[in-house]
Amino acid sequence: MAILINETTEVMVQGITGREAQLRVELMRSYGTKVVAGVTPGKGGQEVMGVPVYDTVEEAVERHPNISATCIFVPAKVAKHAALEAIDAGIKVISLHPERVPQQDMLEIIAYSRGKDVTVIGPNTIGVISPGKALIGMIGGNVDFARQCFRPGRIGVLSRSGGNTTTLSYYLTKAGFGQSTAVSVGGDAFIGATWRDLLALFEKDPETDAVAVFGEIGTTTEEDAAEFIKQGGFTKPMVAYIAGRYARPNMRFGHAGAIISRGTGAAQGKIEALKSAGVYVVDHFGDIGEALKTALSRH
Amino acid sequence: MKDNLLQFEVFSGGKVCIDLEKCKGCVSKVCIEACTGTGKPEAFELREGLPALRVDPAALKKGGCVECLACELDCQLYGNKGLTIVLPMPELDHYLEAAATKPVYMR
Amino acid sequence: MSEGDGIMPRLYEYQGKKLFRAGGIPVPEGRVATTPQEAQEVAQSIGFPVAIKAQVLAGKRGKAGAIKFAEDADEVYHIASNLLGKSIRGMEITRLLVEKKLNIKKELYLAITADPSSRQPVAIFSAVGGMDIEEMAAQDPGAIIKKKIDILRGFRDYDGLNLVRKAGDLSGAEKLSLAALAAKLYRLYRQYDCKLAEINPLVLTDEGFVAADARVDIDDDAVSRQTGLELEAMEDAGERPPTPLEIAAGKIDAFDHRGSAHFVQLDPGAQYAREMGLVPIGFDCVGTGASLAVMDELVPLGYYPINFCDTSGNPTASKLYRVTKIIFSQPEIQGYVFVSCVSSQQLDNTARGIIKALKELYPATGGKPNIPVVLAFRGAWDDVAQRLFEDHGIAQSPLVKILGREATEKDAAEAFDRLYRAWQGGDKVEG
Ligand code: SF4
Ligand code: SF4
Repeated sequence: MAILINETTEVMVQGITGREAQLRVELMRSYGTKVVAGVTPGKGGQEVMGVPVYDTVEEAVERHPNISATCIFVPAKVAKHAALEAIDAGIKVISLHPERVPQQDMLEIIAYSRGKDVTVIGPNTIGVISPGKALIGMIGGNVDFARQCFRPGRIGVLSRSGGNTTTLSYYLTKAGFGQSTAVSVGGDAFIGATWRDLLALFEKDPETDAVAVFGEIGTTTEEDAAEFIKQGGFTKPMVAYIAGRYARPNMRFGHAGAIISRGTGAAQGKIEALKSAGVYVVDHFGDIGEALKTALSRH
Repeated sequence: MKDNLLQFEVFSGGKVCIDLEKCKGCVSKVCIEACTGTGKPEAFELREGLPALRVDPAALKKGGCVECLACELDCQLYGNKGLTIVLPMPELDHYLEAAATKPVYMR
Repeated sequence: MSEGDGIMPRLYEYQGKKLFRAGGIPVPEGRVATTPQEAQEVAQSIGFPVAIKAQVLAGKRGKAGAIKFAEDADEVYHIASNLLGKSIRGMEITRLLVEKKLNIKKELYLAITADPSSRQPVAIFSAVGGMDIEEMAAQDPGAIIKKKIDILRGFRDYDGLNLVRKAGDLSGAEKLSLAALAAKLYRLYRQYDCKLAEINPLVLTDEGFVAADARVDIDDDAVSRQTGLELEAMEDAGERPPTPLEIAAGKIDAFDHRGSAHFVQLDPGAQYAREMGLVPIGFDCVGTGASLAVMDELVPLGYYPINFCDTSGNPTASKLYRVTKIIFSQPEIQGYVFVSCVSSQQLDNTARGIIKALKELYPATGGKPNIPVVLAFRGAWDDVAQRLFEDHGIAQSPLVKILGREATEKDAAEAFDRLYRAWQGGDKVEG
């Protein structure tokens, strides 16, 4: 089953006629993802590597009613419109790839998606992979490398670092654990689906036994997830590595941003919050596979 | 002398320069091979026994040359050191001129 | 690392006040001066007493001596000539804002920013202002009132009233006027893509509320659509201006979009490293997540990366070549560590870039460095990358260790530690 995407998911690509998107379409298709449609306003009627292109998402969904996921490869300044269009068309999973999406655009996307049956991954995500089934975005980079690093299995993966989504999965693979689904949640301060949201999905997924996460300094992602676990929202074993323990303590901001996140954001606080929620936190990233063995045996 | 210099510019600013005099004494002509890997433009071919461009220099400058540096490094190792890639960094040069403490590699 | 820790364009006070004025938020009468004469002229035209405020992007300007008051023209001249040309935390004072001195009845605080946890804009109000908001929060957290804002709905006047209504010692009229100000500040926050729009202090005078200071941080990622702003005047809000090496590194990315080579000096001059008793080293990682994870291994062993460098997104070999030269040009480094996250980018390119740099930096030894160097290649073509270092004879140096995909961040740090110790030991024997 996995979460978000699997071998039956029909995927659309917004901004499909761009150079980058075409490389990704090739990657997704060779991995087995069903890419059924593309959207680029004004380019309807064309084809990209055999994939039909439509002018709007609505039109794509009319022609391919089973589309449930989209990856957005449009310039950052129009990312908001692409995401809102996908939400309006009832797409369930949106993978928002552009980097440097304006913060307030992201706040609008988050507000618009609230209360709707949609999961927005990103922005600044490398995508989602359910190993052996499907991937969306650019995760894995090339198909052979994706198959080496990600193996089918029963561990959910969440990472705030795009690159370390792969490193973490590779460490798990090396320790003998495949992954149900690995999600690069995006490195920005404001992202759509948070760990909390995705842990809720892993909790319900019968094919996920445990979750491994890579966290880092900044934001309240880890603290919010710890709170969610304490409230009983996520009950499976979890292992974590939090990077940035030795990053130089930031000079005080001296402005409003600092009090909002008062007492949060530093690695130590995140580690303590997660530990107090029963999460196994490792000191060395490379030990995460071994820690998972312990966590699973004790749970 | 000019006739014996083959050069073209690269996208990031800088150029690939081949001193054909040296190529005359080169057995391996490894530069030709070096530029055939994935995504590389196959920039060179042998013409009358010497490297020559088989791609329009304008196209190489536009990004056709992916600046992988394979031709230079291979030429240095297995060729006759005829090929050098010059990638200027004026801001760094200014910094180094003005720097009070010299970097560790100059010590 | 999240962008919250990064830099963002921040406006000078006088620029922020220009936006305030246009948005209907009252600011003191005043103008910018760049010479003592000009400062006198401005002061005379607005009348005494005046406030003279150095325009630098540093917090706590009052404590730093950057805000002064003058009663007459001579005093203005004296203060202005004292301030201009001086530096505050590395930033040179080139402009002064000369303003009418306010008659302060009360100082308050008002700001709009985005709340990381609820992921919504939030209005923040305190009936006590003037000091650092963090100190305020520590002293009296109850005094700070926050109101989340639905970005799709906007901010209405009654939201403003709900924000300020609990402030006991304000009259009804004052509360209404504050509520209207909050709504205006929110409009400004939206219009200019702010990350923060802050008035601290917001001063109550006999003539009503006046923004005595203005802090406006613009979202770096929205700057391209903020064409109305004086972009050339905007600068990064980092606590210091970019260093010459950072400027040189910035050019690499500016001229070539193929992959990134983002270089920042965490500790220029290695002051911090020395204070902490750590050995300063040069540093490059594929991905910022990897940078943090490797740093977590290096610091406990006694090494401090004095720069951050992210070479991800499949950069060209020439980019690696250039940025490696920059990293090695930091005079304080006593070693160099490169680690890639397990990545699909072509690490053979990375290797070639680094090899060319080493060969040019160390022509006498064919690229063998005179400081310990560890490189961990993990990802696509990592075997080719490793082999290249052998082919070029660099891997054979006793000061160099090349690692492959099996290595963890910890392995890389420990390998570096071994090389460094051997090197130091060797030095001592020779010396
Ligand atoms: S390998 Fe070098 S020396 Fe030999 S032909 Fe090519 S450029 Fe000339
Ligand atoms: S740098 Fe690479 S792409 Fe450019 S000419 Fe040399 S081998 Fe070819």
